[in-house]
Amino acid sequence: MFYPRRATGLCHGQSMVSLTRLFCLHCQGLILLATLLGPLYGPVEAAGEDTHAGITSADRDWWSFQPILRTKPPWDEVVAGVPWHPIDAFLHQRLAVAGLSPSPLASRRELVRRVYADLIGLPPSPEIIDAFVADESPDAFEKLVDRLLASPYYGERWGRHWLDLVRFGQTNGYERDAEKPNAWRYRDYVVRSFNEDKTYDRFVVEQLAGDELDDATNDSIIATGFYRVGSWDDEPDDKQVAYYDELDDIVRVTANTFLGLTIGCARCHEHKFDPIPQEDYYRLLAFFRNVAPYGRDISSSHYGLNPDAVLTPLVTPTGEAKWAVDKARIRQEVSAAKDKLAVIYAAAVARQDENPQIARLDTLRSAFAVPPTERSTEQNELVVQATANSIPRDQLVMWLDASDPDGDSDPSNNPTPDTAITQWSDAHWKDKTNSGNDAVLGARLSESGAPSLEDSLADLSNSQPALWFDGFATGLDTPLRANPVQGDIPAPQFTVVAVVRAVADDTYRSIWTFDGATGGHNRGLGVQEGQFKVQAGGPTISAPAPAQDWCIISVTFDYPNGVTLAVNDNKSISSVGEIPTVHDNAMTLGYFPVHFTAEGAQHLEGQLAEVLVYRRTLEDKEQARLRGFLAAKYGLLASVYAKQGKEALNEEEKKDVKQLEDSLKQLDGKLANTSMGKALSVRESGNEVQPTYLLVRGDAHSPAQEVQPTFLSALGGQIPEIRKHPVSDNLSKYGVQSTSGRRHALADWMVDPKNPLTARVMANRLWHYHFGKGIVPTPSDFGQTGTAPTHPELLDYLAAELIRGGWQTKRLHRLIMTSWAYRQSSRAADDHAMEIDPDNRFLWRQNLHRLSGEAIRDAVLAVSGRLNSTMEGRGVFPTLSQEVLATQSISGNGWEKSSLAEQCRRSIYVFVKRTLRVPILEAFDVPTPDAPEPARPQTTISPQALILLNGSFMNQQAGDFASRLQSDFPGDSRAQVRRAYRLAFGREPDDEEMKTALNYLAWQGQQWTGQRQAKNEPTQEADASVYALKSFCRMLFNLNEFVYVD
Amino acid sequence: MFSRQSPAHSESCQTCTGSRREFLWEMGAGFAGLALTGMLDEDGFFASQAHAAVTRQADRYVDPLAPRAAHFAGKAKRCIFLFFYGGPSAVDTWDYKPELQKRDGQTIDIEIRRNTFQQKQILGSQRKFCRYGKSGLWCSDAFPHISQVMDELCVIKSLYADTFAHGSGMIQMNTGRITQGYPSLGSWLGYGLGNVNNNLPGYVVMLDPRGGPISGSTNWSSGFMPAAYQGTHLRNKGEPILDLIPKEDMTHEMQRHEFDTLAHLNAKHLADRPGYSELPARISSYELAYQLQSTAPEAMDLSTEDQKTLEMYGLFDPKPDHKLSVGSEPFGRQCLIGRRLLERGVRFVQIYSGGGHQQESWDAHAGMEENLAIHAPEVDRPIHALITDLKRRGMLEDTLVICGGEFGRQPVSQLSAGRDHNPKGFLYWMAGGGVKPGFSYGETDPLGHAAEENPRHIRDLHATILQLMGLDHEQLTYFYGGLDHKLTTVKPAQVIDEVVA
Repeated sequence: MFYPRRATGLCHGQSMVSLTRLFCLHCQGLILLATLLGPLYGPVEAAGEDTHAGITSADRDWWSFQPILRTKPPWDEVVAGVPWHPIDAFLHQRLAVAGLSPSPLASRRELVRRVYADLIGLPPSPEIIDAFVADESPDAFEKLVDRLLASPYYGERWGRHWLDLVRFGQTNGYERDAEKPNAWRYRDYVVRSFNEDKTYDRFVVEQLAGDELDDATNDSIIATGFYRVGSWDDEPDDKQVAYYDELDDIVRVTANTFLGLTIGCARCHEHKFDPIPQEDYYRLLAFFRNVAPYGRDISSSHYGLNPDAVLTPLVTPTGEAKWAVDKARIRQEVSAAKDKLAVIYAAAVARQDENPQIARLDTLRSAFAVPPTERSTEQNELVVQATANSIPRDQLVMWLDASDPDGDSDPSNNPTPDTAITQWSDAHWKDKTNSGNDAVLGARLSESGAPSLEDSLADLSNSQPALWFDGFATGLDTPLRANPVQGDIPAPQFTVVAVVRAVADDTYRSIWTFDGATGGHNRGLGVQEGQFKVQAGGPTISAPAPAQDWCIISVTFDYPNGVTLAVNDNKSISSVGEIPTVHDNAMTLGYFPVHFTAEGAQHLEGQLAEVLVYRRTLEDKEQARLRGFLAAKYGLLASVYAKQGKEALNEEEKKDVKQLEDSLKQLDGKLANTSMGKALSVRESGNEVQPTYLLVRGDAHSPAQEVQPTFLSALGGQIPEIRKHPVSDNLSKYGVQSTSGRRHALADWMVDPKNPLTARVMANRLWHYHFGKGIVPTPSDFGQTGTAPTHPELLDYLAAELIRGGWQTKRLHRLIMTSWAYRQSSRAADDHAMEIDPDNRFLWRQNLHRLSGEAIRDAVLAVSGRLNSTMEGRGVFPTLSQEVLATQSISGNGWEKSSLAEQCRRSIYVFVKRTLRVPILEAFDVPTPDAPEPARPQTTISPQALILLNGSFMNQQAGDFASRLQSDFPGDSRAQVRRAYRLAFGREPDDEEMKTALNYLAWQGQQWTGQRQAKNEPTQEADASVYALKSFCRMLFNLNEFVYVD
Repeated sequence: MFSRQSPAHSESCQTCTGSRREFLWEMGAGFAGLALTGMLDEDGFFASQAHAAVTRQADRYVDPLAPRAAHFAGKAKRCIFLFFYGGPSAVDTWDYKPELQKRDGQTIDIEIRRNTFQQKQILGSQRKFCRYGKSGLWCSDAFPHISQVMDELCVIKSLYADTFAHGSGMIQMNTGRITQGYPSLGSWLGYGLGNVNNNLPGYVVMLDPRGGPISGSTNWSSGFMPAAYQGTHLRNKGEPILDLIPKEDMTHEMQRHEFDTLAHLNAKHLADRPGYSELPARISSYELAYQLQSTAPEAMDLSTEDQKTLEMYGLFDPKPDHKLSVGSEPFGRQCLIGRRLLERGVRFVQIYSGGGHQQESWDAHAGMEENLAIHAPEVDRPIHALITDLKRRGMLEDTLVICGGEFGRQPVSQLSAGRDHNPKGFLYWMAGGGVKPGFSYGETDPLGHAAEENPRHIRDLHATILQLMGLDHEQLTYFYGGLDHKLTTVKPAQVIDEVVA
């Protein structure tokens, strides 16, 4: 049977399994209802005897599980004056029964604004409106639709709908809410896919298994970011539970998004309403069993992002990772340019005989440059003396020296950093403190919990090449902690000086973190996009990190006076009093993770030659001496003293330097170019897939029987054919492993034309967004808790058309939008219809549409003339008020500053941070990224009015709108008002509106002047009119006509 | 004729095949629904279900914050939640543990993080405990003022929660779940009961001057419910509510003129668009916004409070020397504002004591005594004042006061005499609003590590809070993603009947 099964049948005559579903609390109401209403609607089908995993034939009779029928439009249903259109035929059938008829077409002006809002989420310009109104060709409307479907704005509008479904966010949420590397690539992929009219089946397959396709592309791998853009707790209470929570998120969002099924309930027990036994949930989960978890253990309680699980290099067709190739090439150029610069500076520095400091250091450098055994006595003496004089020994808690594997007092083994690093081994890591503390080093094993020191050292050669110094775990926190003394608490102070060479990358890589006692890991020193960054509770301080250059960095933490970061001899200081959240006595040097060779490691991907850690702040003089010593030791005088070298340059050298610096700047820009890099993606955990067990009551610690990946029982329950997917040579070169092929099998099943749900669900989604309500009003729930289709035959017709048209969504847009139903007026006043069908279920008129939060913001930008239509990239950070930032435990943490122009990009490019949401978007129902949102609610609350009237963004834009009007029609209020109406509403004001507007401008202007005069402030008429016009523009943005589209 | 018959059939089917929610909504809102509604509503079923339909897929605009009848007559009409963020210690405050004192310094094996056991030294409390009032409830000398109102308190000593971490712990205490994305307690109350006074937000959150709690606004998020139900962050200084005050330098008249012109033009727009109730709703939302500009500052204006009251709330107490201390003024002011908001019909006020990290909050890793020295004096007088003030105004009996954090702390020492997180046994107290005054319920083990006598999950605490507010936690459901969600989650929860008066 095709028609939906009766709701009253639900609780009657079920099989044993189904009966158990009745005994749940949620059902009580339903049983009651059934008892009350059952008799009204006659007998119910008897239970089917043939059960498959507890699924009866009655269960399988549910309407959405039936094959999609090739329904024929009921062409008999003709309404006079309405051209034949298959969609209208279906709708008219229902309208006629209800005694209703469709409304007349909307006016051309209304239509163009509607189509713009709907397809691209922006208002049409007055010129476009005029042109459309004047276009008398019979296919004017079709041309308009086609033009907009071809616009890149289309993908930005419809891609955003998709992002709602897949809980897209760019951070993890929870305490640290760290950024997900390159999450934006997934967003851009979605936008691109809509713009390319990627067929929906391909779109589905790419997201589920883009890495397992024979024709995998960079885009198809980026598509699997689908798995990674949800929230993720890096400090879960129970790691085993967290593992299944992560899979649960994937299972739910997959079933919701592609199948319109709410499967999550079956995690703990049989689904209470739909025929989804618990076993089905775990069978579906089995398809994802080999998905590598997002994090890897970094301590007994914490996870860190696992790059080998979530990042895949983007590889070019010739097999090279584009980022690697590009970066290598650019870095070569950089290094060539820098070599040249170094030569010039070195020459200049060397000429500075009159600079005794440099001269002395240069002599020292020469001494270091000679192998120790060949040094003269003087040279030896010089090295020993300099070492003794330059390195303060008091309060030195840790000293690591790559050049000195034996750890004896002579640090002079021909230490050029490059050669030293290549020989680096565990033997180099020694505790060389002279403070007697038990500062120790260990290797963090990737799998285990907190390893003991002995284990770590023993396994060092076999483990990941990431060395891990965990001061907190090893007790170093004690020496570095300032202990409270009765009544007075000494401020925590320390200094870290290091010789490092960091890989500048777009991923944040921490060099060390401090305050690790309760996981304040977001404080410390790191490197990202060519910048060293110190986060110490206040604003981030940063300094350029010369790419691939050895440099000397020194950080002093001197609470409450401030934090200093010096890269070479350039010092930046965070201002005093801006470290509000650091509490003095608890300051610990918690983690000191130094990962220096792990490919793709989250931490410093670079090299480290020497580190000194002091439990006090070194004075400037001491720092300078130490820096000089290290610069001489490692031959870094030219770069460290570039500033001084600069002063000694002659004219010709200056010219060369300028040229080299310019080209370096360009190269830096290229390196920072975000198109290089890796995809946030799915990866699998090796070749052997672990068995999947049904978990009793969903308890991660109670496995029961083993299950195999199997499709849903209600849809046949077939066991798929699964082929392992070999990884391409291109990717295996970068450590990517082959995959189980399970996800590919699932994806193929999803888009099998015989799957009754996938096409129906997508066709309904398109309808939902076009009309404001789906044929099935619950677009992600086609089960029994959802709402049945108002027009089931139409839904099947559209679903069949989607498949027949090769899954092209643009084709379906065209089909829907060319219907009379879509084009009819939303303003029809039909008392009869309003009484019979006040909710407009049968579509006797089009619905009025409120702009989404994004569309309101975007429309404001378009109307003010400020819209920046740059596409793609990491995203932008609109300025948030201090009050909003103050809701964070570390104010401003993770929220950057974007230029004004960047802030004027479309809302889809606003960075999505889970714990800090942009008020204007949040207030207008942009959903939380933590939960999929198939149908946004539309609420109306007074904070929306406050934001639109008093918010900084709105006032800024109102000002820009006013300036635009002022410069187009200087001094002509009438013309300004007319233009304003045309820009904001796509129409001319009528006489009454013009009068109101002019009165408004005059009155507000007068009042403003009066107010200024009362304050004895000088005013000019022009100022008053600027004020009034801005006020008027702000008011227009607030009108219902601005946020509602007919 | 086929086309005439067939749809007629499906028409009749339509009614019975619509989801039960939609169906009920139709019935309830439509013509024939009254009798049925009455029958169903006896168990509150209709109220919750129709309600979900209204807010999520309203065809006709319904104010999500319109006042709604409780499931039954609740003892409390409003609620104020004093959240000690960071996780306060029970054994140093209201839970006297003689055994802990006796065994101070002994080494024991104890669960420090989930399934992670460590050898640790027992840390006895440095505080002196006494029994107070007729009830004889224990209170430590950390709270000399609160100790004077112990007869009003109902102390629950045997709560436990699911996580050792702040991030998920904060979220669980506020939303019932350890995962992000669910509505917070205040959202549930707003959803269940609506707003009494539309001129003020129904759900207000005030933060510590040292910073927000971990995960920030996630803690007062409405999750998958509409944003209308999220908490409003109210500030002590500057603009009390985000964008409340015009950025432009404008007079009252100028602003009124702007509102009037808006209303006038909107009315004209409305006249051409019949049958869209969201349009008038939006027009009135501007009036409410306008009202809010005067009502919010009025509610926060303490100039009409007498000097004695201000003193009682600790507004003039000197700030202690400790660098991290902010004194009792901010929390006292917030408690007083909280009382004023409650008087004006605000349903749910949540005030955070502690912000930022570690010793800035109740997160006493780095020293229990120091932590208490910073935070206890900040809240002692304000809380005493709040309870006294509510009582003398006759408000305490229908105002529920709740106090506690995201978890408690360990009976063993960490770092220099600090205490680590402990979700296995911790303490909340409530006052007023239908709880038994001067009552103690449940116990942890003799050291104060895990709930032992009458252990209750915080789901039970949530169920109890809803119960006191007139809502049945089983019936207060919100349909999302195929499930009727509850604050108390899908796991069994029970009202702690023993603490209900």
